[in-house]
Amino acid sequence: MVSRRFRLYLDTSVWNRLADPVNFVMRRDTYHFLNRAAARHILVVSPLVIAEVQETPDPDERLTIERLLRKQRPERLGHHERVDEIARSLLEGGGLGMRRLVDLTHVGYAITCRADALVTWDARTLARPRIRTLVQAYCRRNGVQAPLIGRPGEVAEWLGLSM
Amino acid sequence: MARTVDVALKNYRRARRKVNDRLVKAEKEGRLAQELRRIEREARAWWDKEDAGKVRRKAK
Repeated sequence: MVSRRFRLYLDTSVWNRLADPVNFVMRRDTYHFLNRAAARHILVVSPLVIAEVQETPDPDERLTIERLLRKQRPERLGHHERVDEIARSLLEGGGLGMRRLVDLTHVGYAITCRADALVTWDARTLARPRIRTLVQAYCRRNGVQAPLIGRPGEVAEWLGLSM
Repeated sequence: MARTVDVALKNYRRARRKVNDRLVKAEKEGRLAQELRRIEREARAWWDKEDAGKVRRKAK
């Protein structure tokens, strides 16, 4: 039986963890997710991820993240006309402020590239029930696949990937 | 007990805020799609820079 290859959109918080100088456990979990759970699947990054990585203040950490990002050879997304519309629609639908524009633009990229999951370490903003419900409702209304949104361990568990 | 600062998360939030400011400014000026296209061009240039480096190294 050929197992399905999932499309996993990794947001910047996941890539940043690879150079985490303090939290060894989260850094190790991120490596395990990339090298074990996600090894046979398709990793996807948007131009926003590159823009955010470029803003990493420590040059050494930035170089480490960039090197590891290139090493993983993710699928690179280009611009998609609907991304800004989706972000706007989610922003209005959820009654969220403009502070969430970039987060919802990431979600827009994950939806347009038909990602099975958006993987993030950001549980305060993205990986939370309110956003998940909002995204599921939007996708149901528009007849598109809703990406799961969760932390690496959660996504691995939901998709049955072994870490 | 002192709390350890989550440096990676702090850096990520700072970077995200900066990119968000860029998008919000563009949205207020009615040019969000153009700004996303510009970010896409910058990202492509970043990937191409490394690819060009690899080609040069192979050629040597």
